[in-house]
Amino acid sequence: LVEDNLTDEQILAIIQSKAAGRRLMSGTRINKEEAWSLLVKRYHAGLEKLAISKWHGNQDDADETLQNTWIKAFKKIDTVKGHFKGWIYTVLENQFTDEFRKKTSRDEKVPLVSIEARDPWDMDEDGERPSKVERKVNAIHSEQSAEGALFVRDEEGAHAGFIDLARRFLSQNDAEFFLKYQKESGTKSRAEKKKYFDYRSKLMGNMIKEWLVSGRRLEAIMDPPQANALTRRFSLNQKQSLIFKEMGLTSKSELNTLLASATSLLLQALMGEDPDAYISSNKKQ
Amino acid sequence: MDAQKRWDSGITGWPFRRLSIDTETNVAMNQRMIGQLLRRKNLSANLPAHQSRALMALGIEVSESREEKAGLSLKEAAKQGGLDPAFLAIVEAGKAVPGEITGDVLASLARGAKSSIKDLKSAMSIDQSYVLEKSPGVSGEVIAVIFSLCRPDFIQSALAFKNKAGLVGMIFDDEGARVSYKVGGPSGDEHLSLSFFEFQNPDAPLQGWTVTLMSGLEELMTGSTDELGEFRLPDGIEDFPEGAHMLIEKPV
Repeated sequence: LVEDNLTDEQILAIIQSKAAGRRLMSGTRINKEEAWSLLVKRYHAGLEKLAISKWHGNQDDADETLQNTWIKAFKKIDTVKGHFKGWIYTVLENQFTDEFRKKTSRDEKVPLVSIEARDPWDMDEDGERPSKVERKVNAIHSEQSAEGALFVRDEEGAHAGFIDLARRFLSQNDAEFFLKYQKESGTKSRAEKKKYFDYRSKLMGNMIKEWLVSGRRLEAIMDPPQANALTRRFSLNQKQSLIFKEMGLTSKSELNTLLASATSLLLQALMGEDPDAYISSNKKQ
Repeated sequence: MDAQKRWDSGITGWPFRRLSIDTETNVAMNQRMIGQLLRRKNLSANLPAHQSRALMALGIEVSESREEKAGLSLKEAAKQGGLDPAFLAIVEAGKAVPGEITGDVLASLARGAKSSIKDLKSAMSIDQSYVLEKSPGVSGEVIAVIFSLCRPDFIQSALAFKNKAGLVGMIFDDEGARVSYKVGGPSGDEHLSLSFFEFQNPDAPLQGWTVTLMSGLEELMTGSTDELGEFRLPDGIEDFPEGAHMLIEKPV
C-alpha cells in the first residue's frame, strides 16, 4: 500500500497537523485515524515483544501496559519532534516504570518491624572476608529497628539504611522469610540458602532496575564512561538483567559501589529530599 | 438493559462488548481505541472542570478497585463487566465522556472492577463547593457555582435542620461557592428545599437561577430558584441525595 511507504515523520506530520487529513502524492487521502492506525500497526508488535520478554513475561500484563502506552502516546503526540520510534519506546519504558512503581508501593510495602540489621548482600557464602562496610553493618545492634536503621546512615554508612529500603522492594512473604532466615541460627538447608540468595538477587535487580536503569541515574553515581558501559549492557540484555550475573557486573566491589550509591540515593529520596536535586548537587561536587 | 445481557444477546455497540472482540487482534483493538480517543478529543478538551474531575476520579477508582480488589487484568475485567476493553482503558485514563457513563455502564464497570455503583458514584462526587465561573473583570460577579451536598458542614447543617436543632431558618455561608443558603421543608405541604442568597447577604436571594441537581455525572433534576431564591426538591423526597452536588447558574 502507498500508505505503508510513508515515513514515520510523514505520518507524524499528518497527526500533528491542524488539518483533518492530507492527500498523498498518489491521490489517496489519509486522515488522522488512519495515520494513527499505521503507527500502531507498525510498532505494536515490537513493543509487545519487548514488554513481554524484557519485563512482564506474560501476555496479559504486557497487553495492559501496551494499551496504556498507546493512550499516553495519544495524549502526548503533539510533543514529539522527529524520531517517533525512539519516542514510543521511551513512552513504553516510562509506562512500565510507572506501573512497576505503583505496584511496588501497593503490594510490597512491608510494615516496619524489628529486624536483625545485617546487610544481606554481604553474607560470606563464598568464604570472603567481610569488607569494611560489612563490618560496620554487622556491628549495628541486632534489635535495631528498620526505621532506626534508616536514620543511622550518617554514622554507619549507606548500607545501614539499605536494609530497610531494600525490604520495600520485596513482597511480604519474601520479607518474612528473610527475617526468619536472619534470626534463626543453625544450619540452613540448601533450599533455604537458594531461596535466600534468590531473594537477594530479586532485591538488587528491582532496586537497580527501578532507580538506576529506569531513572537513568547511573551517571549520577558513576563516571560517564562507566555509566555508559553499564547502560549498554542493560539495554543489550534481553532478560533485563534482573539478577546479578545477568547484569554483567564483574566484581563484588563493583556491586558494592553500585549498591552503596543506590542506597544513598534511595535514602535521600525517602527522607524527603528531591532525588533529582540530590543528583544535581552530586554532579556539581 | 444490563451490559451482560446485552452482550449475551449479541446486541453490539460501544461501550459494550461485541462478540467479535474475542477474536480481535491487539493491533486492531488499539487502533480502535485510538479512533475513539480521536473522536472525543474536542469534546474532552471542552468539558467543564467538574466533569473532567469526576471522570478522572472515576478512572482512578475503577483502576484501583480492579487491581486491588479484583486483581484482574484490564482485558479480563472488561470481559467480566461485558465491556469493550478499549473502553475500560479509556475510562481508567479518565478519558470517558459524560454521555458514556450511564447507569448500565456504571453497573458494568462495578462488576468488572469488583466495585460497587455506590463506590463509583462516591468517587465521582464533589466534596467541596467552589465558584465555577465569574463574570469578566478583576472582582467579577459569581455567575456559576458548584454547591456540594456531601461536604461535612452542609451535611451537618442539613442534619441539624432535620432534627430541628434550633437551626430552623438559619442561614449558612458557603465560603467555597461564595453563596449563603438556608435549608427548608419538608413538613406538611412543604417540600425539601434550599434557598440561596448572595454571600453573607440574606436580603439578596438568588432569583431565577438555574439549579441542576447531580450525582456524579448523572443529572437528577433541574429547575430554578423562585423569587425568594428557593429551589424545591420534588414531593416525597425527604433527604438530599447522597454524594450529590448542585450546579447553580445565573440566568443569561
